[in-house]
Amino acid sequence: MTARTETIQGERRSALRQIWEAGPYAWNQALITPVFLVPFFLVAATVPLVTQYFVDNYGWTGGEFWVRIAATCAMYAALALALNLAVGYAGLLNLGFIAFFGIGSYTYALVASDQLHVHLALAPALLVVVLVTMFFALLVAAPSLRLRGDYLAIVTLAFGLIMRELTLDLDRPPVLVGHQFGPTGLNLTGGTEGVHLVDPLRLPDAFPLIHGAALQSRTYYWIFLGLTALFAYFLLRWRASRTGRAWMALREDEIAARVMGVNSYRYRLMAFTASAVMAGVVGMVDAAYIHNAFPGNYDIQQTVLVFIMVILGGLASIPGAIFGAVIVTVLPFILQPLVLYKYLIFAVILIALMIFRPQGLMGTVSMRPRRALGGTLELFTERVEPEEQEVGAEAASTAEVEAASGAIVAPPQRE
Amino acid sequence: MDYFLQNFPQQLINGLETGSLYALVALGYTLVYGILQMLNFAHGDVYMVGAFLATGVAVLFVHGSVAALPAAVVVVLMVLAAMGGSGLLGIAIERVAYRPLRDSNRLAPLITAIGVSLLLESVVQVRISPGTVLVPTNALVPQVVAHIGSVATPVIALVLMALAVLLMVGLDLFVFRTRFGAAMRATAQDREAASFMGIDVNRVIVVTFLLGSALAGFGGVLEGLRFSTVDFFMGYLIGIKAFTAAVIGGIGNVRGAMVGGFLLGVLESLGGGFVSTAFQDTFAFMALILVLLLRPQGLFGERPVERA
Amino acid sequence: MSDRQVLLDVRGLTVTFGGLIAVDGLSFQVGKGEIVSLVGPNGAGKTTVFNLISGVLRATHGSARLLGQELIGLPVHRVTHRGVARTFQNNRVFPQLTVRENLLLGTHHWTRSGMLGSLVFWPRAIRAERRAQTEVDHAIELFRERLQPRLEDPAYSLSYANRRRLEIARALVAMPRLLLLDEPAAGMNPYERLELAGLIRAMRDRGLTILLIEHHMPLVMDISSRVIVMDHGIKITEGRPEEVHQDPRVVEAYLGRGVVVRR
Repeated sequence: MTARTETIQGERRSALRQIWEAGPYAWNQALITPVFLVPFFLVAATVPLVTQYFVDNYGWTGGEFWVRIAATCAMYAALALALNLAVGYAGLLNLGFIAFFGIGSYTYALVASDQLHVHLALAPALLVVVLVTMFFALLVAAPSLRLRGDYLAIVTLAFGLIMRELTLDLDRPPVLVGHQFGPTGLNLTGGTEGVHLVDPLRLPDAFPLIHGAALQSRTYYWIFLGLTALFAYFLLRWRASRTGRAWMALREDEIAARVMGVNSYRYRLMAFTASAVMAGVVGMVDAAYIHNAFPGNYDIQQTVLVFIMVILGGLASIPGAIFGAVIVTVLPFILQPLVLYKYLIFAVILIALMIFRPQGLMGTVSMRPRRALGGTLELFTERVEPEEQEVGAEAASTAEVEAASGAIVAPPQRE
Repeated sequence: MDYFLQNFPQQLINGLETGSLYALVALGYTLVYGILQMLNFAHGDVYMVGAFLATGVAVLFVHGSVAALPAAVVVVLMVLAAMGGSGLLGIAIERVAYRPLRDSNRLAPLITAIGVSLLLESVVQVRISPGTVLVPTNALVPQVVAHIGSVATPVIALVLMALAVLLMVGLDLFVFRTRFGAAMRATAQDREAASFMGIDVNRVIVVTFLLGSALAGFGGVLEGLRFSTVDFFMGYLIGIKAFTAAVIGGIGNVRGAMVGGFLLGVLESLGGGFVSTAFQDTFAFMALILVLLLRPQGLFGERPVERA
Repeated sequence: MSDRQVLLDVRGLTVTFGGLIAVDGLSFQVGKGEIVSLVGPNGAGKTTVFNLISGVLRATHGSARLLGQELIGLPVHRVTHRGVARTFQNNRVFPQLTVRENLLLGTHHWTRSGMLGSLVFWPRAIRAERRAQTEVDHAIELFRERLQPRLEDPAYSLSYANRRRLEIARALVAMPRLLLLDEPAAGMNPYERLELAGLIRAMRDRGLTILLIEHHMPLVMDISSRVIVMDHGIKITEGRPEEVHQDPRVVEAYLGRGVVVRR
């Protein structure tokens, strides 16, 4: 970030002011530095303790409620980051995103409840959830990623629907061609009822505040917050790595990326799967949190909600995703009387964003009208002014031209 | 085997009837995709709105205080309301939500379309009904069942299918035999070149949306009269199925969409009848995946779909 | 050609689109360390040849061997890995990514650092990243004044000329054996073309072999060791610039009359 020290009308502007004026790119750069992030998460972690203080000392009754909202915010923040990976970094439209969250939930529910009489501990359950989600992600993406981007969109959309149907229909053994597969009374997913009495997460006793079975909202808040921090860390590391650059190159211009040696199929698959697995893990924690896995929680409306979070916050922006998640989660609670119109209002917001401000609040990437530069996702920031065209203005004299050419012709020495 | 032979004609007829519905909606997808290379996710919800408009008209005349009209007239009004309303809605959506993003990359309008879809569903869900709404079909259409050989099907279903086919034939004639249809096909091939030829591309796009949405509206009436219920979520499922049908036929190909629709209807019916009822919807999904794996350009498509 | 090692050997390269034969039985060789220009009127199929060699387009018949290894049929990213880098006629830098990130992408195919490796501070990943940065700094040398100050700027904010330089620099970073430049001088003024000529020679001195498509005849005459002339998908002739320049077939097809090239 070229934060120039501006002197306007002889007045020196503070660093904060400069960052504010430099636009979304600068905001993102500033907000993802450890200087900001680490304190942010630490402060966020103290929220339940603060509410507890008010509950104990002032008899505030809203404490538990707001901790639960905070937990939901943190959960959606983690989900938004996971979606941001697929959409913001790699430019993949996963319209069945929430289905993977649901797969994570149901998988955990099946291995940690009486449904199948299997009760796995945390680590093995996590492993199973990751593997199962990965399996479904590959199942969906492997055939679809060989085709154009809009095909992935529709396949994932259909997948989301199928997942819902399957969870509703698998409360009896499947009957195919008149034959019943599985013993009578086999009830995998509990149908419309869902799976109940899911075990809470059993955490190792070593953890000071949250040892034993996690039973309180605040514990789950911390777990979701931890996941958000972890995902933010992943996204940050990836962004500055070969993998992240490959993803972004694919997003920008697939052919040019391939010409640079990026195996587009493999990298797209990796991004899609990583995003799905992250969502699945969040789903697992959610199932433990609400002790249930319901089919109704995982349909297209939820996916659109997460999309709104990501686009509102700003595509490919880590603080933006968190910010967007918090806004979208908290807003319906603040505007209580309008809560029925939640989806309606958000739908309008999404459409308006796409038309008027596709880069969202803090995004540096958008899908705006393509200019001559080509590529899939287009840029849209006000950060840097385009250079003046160099129309031979500088090399006025032959001597300069010779010097310029000379400087280039001499083979550079490697140090 | 006997079971199969006995029930095959019935499943076939059922499949064709459902297929006509899929074909109607698939046409809207394929027309828009052909011209704009865009998957209009909101199309299924336009169909849903058409169904609700028709239901509204029906309820108004059957239960309402408006002067009683002969059933046939009411049905005609339902069709007009549905087709007109859906058509106008389609045009409005294009104008407001898609046109500003006309020159964006492919993925941007898809996100907007999802937003529009959610918007339509929410409006109906919150302002009209979150549950199923009954269509007073008993008062409107004779509940007569025709028996042809071993096959039984409501007469109304046959009539509606015939009307759907008529509409499709009409559309086919329009696209392939009229000058405007030629303009549409030209725009689908190369939008820029078409505008250089003096074709008003905007008008072509508007008419495309109008036609596709109107057909979907009729489909909505069809489903309402056939199944007597409508709900705010019906567009979503139909959308996926119709899209699958369009892909099977070759997305962008008008005749392909029609064939694909009927084919999918029959496939689903046979699958549901002979393999498993519960997983009927999964068949559509599997058909989609299979087509994309084995022949992504569909039956009649020529455009290469693979990445270069 | 016998005294020089053959780097690229193209034989019978053909591609058809439906009924249209875009490139028809094209054969030529490029020797190691040569600068060969591919010229011809618009629509001759030159960029198509690049697309065929780089794998962006699949050839119908024919072969293109790099140091004996067949390129035809390989996926694009494998062709790059074999040592072919290219630029595009319409300039395909990654608009959203910074200059540095664009350049680092050139290192993609020769660094080994995986998805999971970058999460933990895997030593191999760190070393790979460091090596990549070094190579980028090295490539930047050739463009010191132009791109150095703009390393952290997004590519879309660069001037047209700088975007072209960026694309070339990015191709260099990929450490190719063969560099395909598609109309590198398009839209440049005489000073910039002079710079470009020097640049291409410098790259050749570094050990690169260069095949370029170019319309600007003086530049072609100036730097090429050989010129291949195409029209309607076939090779009309090839030879040293002076020979080709005077060949009546070429003049007839393309160069026009009385073009005087001042050296």
